[in-house]
Amino acid sequence: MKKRKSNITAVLAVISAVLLSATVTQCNTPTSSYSQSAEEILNMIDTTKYTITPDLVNSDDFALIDLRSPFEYEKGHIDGAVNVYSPDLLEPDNQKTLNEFRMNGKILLLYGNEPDETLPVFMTLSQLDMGPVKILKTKNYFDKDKFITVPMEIEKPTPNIKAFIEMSGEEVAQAKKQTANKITPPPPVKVAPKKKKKKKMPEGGC
Amino acid sequence: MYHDKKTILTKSLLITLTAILIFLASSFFVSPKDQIQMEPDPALLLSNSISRERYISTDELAHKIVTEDPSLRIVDIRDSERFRSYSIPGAVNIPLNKVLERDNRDFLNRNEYEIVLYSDDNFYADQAWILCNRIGIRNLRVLDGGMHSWFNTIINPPNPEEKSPQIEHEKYSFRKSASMFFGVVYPDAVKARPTEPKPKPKTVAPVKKKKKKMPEGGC
Repeated sequence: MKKRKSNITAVLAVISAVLLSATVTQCNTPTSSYSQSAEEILNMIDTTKYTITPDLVNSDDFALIDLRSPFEYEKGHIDGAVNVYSPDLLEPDNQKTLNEFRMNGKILLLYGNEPDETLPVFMTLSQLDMGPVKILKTKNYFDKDKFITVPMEIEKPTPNIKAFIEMSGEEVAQAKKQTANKITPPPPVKVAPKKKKKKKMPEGGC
Repeated sequence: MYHDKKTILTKSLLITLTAILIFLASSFFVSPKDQIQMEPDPALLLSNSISRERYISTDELAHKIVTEDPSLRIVDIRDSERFRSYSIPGAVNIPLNKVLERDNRDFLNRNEYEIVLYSDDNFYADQAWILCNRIGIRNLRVLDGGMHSWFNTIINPPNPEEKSPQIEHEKYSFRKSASMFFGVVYPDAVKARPTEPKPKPKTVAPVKKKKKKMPEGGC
């Protein structure tokens, strides 16, 4: 009886030790690399205005971040912008630069060639809670080596496709009608009157 | 006395170990580690988000719809009003703000399907893709250019110039056929439809019977 009890105790002790070590290992791994959950980010996207038009940009409040390649940045950029190439966002130097802006109370204002290009950086910074971050709604391009910035709408509504499809059918039906109306009746066939040959009296005989 | 003390000690040790065992086992199974493990680290998520691998072209999508690809699922992440006004045939509506709801997660997280997300452009669809990628859903794709591109390439394809390379003409030919599949009517397509000529009634020339002539004269 005594032996049995001690055996049970020993088995339980071993299992406990294994589970304890597993839990300790689990605790040592980072819980999550992100400061914000996916749900929190989705809620932020849904409820806050994170895009801004160029006319509302006040340089005192914002730190302009150019996410294009260093080559494009050197060729031309918005005045006062700092270059942080998107793929290198998490490099220590860039993190340091962004942190300095944050410490100075600046809002990070991202721009690329188009607003779509800023999205990976915007989402990453938001999830790491390295905000506040906003997206500048501009399209940037070069025209004869001159840097041009124009406002650009995000997710502009699509033209009414249903109406377009219905119209295409109606237009064709109308065109068919018009062509049907235009059809002129064929000109009457002229028939040359046949002259009836007069019956000649039978000529004499013998 | 000594024996009693030992028994009590063993019993208490047994109870303590059992309690520890139950506690550790429960904490081990309840832990959300599984979910966290599925998350890519920020550097990987950034790299995935920058990559254009997730995009599917409108031509490729149209081809899959026309050929009735059984592995295809299309998700419109615009609001329900826009979805009702027009959606890509076969699409299901999951508005962006509801993408992470449990039922929708289950719908999206099916590896046997290729799920294509789209919005008016691809900005909102990209956001949905990034968040889904973060929570471990890997089978999603995004329609490149969204509904704008769908309209400009498939529904209303631009006619290539005569001098354009052959490939452009072939592409236009496919797109035109696809747009007709999706309901667009072309005047030339209607004209080109072979109209069977009505069979003309055979005209039978009546054979005139020759009147018997009276025998002429004679001896």
